[in-house]
Amino acid sequence: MNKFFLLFCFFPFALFAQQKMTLSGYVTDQKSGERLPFVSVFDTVSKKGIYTNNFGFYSLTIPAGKAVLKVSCIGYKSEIRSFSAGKNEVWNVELGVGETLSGVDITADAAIEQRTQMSTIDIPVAQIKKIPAFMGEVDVIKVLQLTPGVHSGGEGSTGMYVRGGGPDQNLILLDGVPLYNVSHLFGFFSVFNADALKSVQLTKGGYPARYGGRLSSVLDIQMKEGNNKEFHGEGSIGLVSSKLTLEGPILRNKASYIVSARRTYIDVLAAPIIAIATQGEGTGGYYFYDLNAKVNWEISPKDRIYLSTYNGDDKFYASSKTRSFQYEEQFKFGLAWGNSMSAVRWNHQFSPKLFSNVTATYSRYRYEVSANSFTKRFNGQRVITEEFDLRYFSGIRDFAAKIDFDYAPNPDHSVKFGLNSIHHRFTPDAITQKYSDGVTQFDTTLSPSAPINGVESFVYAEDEWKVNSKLNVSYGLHFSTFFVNEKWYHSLQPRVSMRYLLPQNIAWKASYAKMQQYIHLLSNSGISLPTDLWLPATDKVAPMMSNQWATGFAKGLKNNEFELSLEGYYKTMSNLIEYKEGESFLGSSDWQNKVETGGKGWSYGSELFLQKKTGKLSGWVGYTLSWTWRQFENLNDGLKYPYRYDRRHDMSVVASYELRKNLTVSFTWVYGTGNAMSFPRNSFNLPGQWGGVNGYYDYGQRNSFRMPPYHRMDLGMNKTKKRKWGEETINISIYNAYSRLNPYFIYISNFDRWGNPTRTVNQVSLFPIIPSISYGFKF
Amino acid sequence: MNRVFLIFVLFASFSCTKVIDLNIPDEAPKLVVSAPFSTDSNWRILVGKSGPSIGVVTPVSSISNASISLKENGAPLSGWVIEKELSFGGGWNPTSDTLYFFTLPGIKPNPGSTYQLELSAPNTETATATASCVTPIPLANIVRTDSATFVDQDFFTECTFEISDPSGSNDFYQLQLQVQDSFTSFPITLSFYSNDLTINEFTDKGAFGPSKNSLGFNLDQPFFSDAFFNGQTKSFKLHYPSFYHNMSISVNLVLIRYSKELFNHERSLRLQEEVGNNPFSEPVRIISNIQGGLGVFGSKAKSSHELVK
Repeated sequence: MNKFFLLFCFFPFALFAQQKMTLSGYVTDQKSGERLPFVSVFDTVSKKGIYTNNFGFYSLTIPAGKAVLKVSCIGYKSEIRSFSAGKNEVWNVELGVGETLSGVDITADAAIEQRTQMSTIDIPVAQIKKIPAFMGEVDVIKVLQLTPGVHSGGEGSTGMYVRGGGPDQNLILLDGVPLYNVSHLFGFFSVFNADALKSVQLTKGGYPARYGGRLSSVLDIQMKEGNNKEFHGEGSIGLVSSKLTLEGPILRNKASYIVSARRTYIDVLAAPIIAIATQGEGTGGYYFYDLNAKVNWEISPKDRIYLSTYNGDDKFYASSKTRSFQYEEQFKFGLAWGNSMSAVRWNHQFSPKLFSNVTATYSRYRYEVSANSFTKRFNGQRVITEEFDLRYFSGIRDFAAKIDFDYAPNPDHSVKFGLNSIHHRFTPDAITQKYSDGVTQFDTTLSPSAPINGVESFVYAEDEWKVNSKLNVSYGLHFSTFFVNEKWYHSLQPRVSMRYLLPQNIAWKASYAKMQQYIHLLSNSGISLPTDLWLPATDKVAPMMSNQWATGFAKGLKNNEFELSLEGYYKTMSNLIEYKEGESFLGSSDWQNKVETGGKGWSYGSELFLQKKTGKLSGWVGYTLSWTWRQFENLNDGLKYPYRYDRRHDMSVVASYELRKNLTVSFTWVYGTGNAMSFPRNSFNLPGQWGGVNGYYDYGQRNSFRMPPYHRMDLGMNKTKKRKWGEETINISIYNAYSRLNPYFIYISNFDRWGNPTRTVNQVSLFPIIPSISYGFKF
Repeated sequence: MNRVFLIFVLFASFSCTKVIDLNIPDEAPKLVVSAPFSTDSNWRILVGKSGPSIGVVTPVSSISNASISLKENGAPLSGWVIEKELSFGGGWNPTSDTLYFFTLPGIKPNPGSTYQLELSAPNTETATATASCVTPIPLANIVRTDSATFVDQDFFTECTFEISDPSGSNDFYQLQLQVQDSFTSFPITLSFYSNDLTINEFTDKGAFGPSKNSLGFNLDQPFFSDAFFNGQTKSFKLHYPSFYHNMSISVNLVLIRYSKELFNHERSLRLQEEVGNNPFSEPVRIISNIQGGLGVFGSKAKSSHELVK
């Protein structure tokens, strides 16, 4: 019965599809053959349009007769073609790259006021690469943190806090596969190598029904497919890392590959310093690497297969060795974490109106702490050796399969539907210990929390309905289930977005979305520590839920050179979790006993965004005014309190200016209210449990203090030079140009700097001014 | 030392620390009250003053010039005297300190009575609190089985007992194994062990202390709530090393019933001590039921049984 109901809801229009023609095809980059997502395809006769999907496919069904299709995308020259046969036709479009971002027309059909979807940010990768880079490394997440409604947890962090949500509430998809921890170097870099990326889109609200499983945002990142026309390479050499990307055809115009690798060499640079400091007795270091690879093959005009994989790891290690005549000691410490993902995707075009994508994926995140000590000593009679080995590990592993359909029944409807199923295996924490001294030995595995299996599935259907020339409505349903520990959770989530065109082409937009999340991240601090635990909803810890309402206005200005949007939102969250007072990830207790459950959250605010994507000057100004609250029965006397990342004011200015054809300068400035924190208001003495008197702190209300505000200015310059073999680029960046010492964390010291017993507040800051230079090349 | 250096060298090389002024509003000192009371001891109240959280000014552990008023079911109690006691301070006051206790000689709290406390001192807000005196919960059906278990070269004595939890209220308990020898004036608590999953559940859910108890995990005065046996009679089982019997001391099994306010306060004190300066732990707020001040005014009631004479 329900099936018939759905069919009744979504497809009645199919019955009336008469005397129509369907124009369909793929939009690709002329030079590389890369298929282009989010490209506007607009019929100037019927005034109907559509965007290409993630695979560059479009299907536009319009009244039979004359049609003039205009295909346009930022950074490319538009293509126009007339159709008069009045029948279905296939038009595969190749778009030529514009002269940088200038001189490219943004047509009215692609303007912000035409889009139904709100609360969405897409920044061209080319523009991202122009923004000043930290230590020469362009970072997608850090750029997104400069947009309204999105901010970082603190200095250097790649955690994203979107509209009052936590970093676990972001669905981060790389080629459709969820990644769990996207941080390198304790959060200073993200795992995304910009050279390997094709598109980046962040959705903060009004989520389409095809997305689910997270409360606060969807970051959809697509990797490049690889140039299927000719071999190319790109790379850079920086102060702390280098990277290289190679791409080319396997079968010209049919199959291509791309391989991209990046590695830091902090370990190499630090090695001599450590050797001197430890007088040769110690070694240590840190490095991370990323490896992206992708192959695609067009089996037939209607079928294409993609294989993509990503592997990235961080490794921090230290060891020491002490040796004397009768004694030898070795100690090793290691901390490692990383993501792996693989995806196989098969695109199939059933008809000009129906497109499908089948995906099978594997994703794994794990971290591991290890310590090993070895001693060898002579006790006067015999040699005694002792070895102790400790390993602590945690992680999450997913196998998933999904199928998605795009169906364009008639000019006014664009339908997507599909289903998805993920098998999760969580290993919240496990410890293995080994000990041997020649006489006694043990080898144990302690699992305070046994591995947990869970199956998350969902089906969805959505339709973008052009009701009339002024009103567009996108509506859908997302039904998800989660089966864990013999407990079955389910949720029906309605999603609606609408746009109404007011006079003077001002768009009024509104949206509502309900989301449910079956995965929790248990985190102690704003630092993106790899020790944060990914955990499932269980029979004891319920899934998180949110409802978000948003409304706002949008308008293109000056022939759509500028996009202006003003949005307000209100979000409620429930079943949040938080560590109990005094708890941390350390300790042997089952995680479920360390957390407060059933928390509530509220977030509301407004966002102003003025963006310029084209021309010599590009960039944006963003401002967010927001409030975020949390409430738990057993925290703060049950009263609501500001969320740690409640940020009243958040402002960013980002600009890049093309001084000459080969010289671009860039600038960013960001300001944010300081994070909320608990800090002692008073101290007092009371009898201790072991007699005597102990000192205690009175913290007052939770998170009632603010860290000093965060602000920073970065400067950058890109100078390119054509060479016979290609192009080279010198990038100079100055991070934190006026050397603002922003707070990383704050603590109380019982002594001042002269050792006097005076309690002082100390702020630890990470980065003063950091200039960097990198050399890039492209061939 | 090299190990520590190695782990922190990379972080330290990037970071810098500076002393900052945090905008902490100036607050007048508050009265700090430590007034746990029990049916088996006279009234004894410690009154101190809080100090700022930063700077050179330290809190005052106790004052002798406070005005104190205590009423039992609305009727004033009088006869306060001040007792001095030398204490070895910790925390902000690492030197020895003289503590002034307000005491009512010969007057003990009565189970079931309600008490109102009011304290005032120069330059501080008046502090008030109200609390009822809880009744003791008897230990019943106590069975001791010597040398029941042999683990890690030691024999363990097993002890089982029952408690009947009152219905209609949330109750809180502490379990102790106390010894009293001829050398100390106060009882000392000993460690014991338990495989009892019920206790395990209690400690996980109800309070603090070891969250996983098994033979091999040390229990030292675990606190727990009646969340899982409210209004029921429940059996407990614990183990302790049999050599306690050979120490020529008396060993007592002690069950202390706590009022909610005292339990929450004690728990928060211990948690804050436990957390210390661990930057990875959430800060612990000290739970207080003193209006206009800090500290606690709450009751406890003790039941005990002598396991070894």
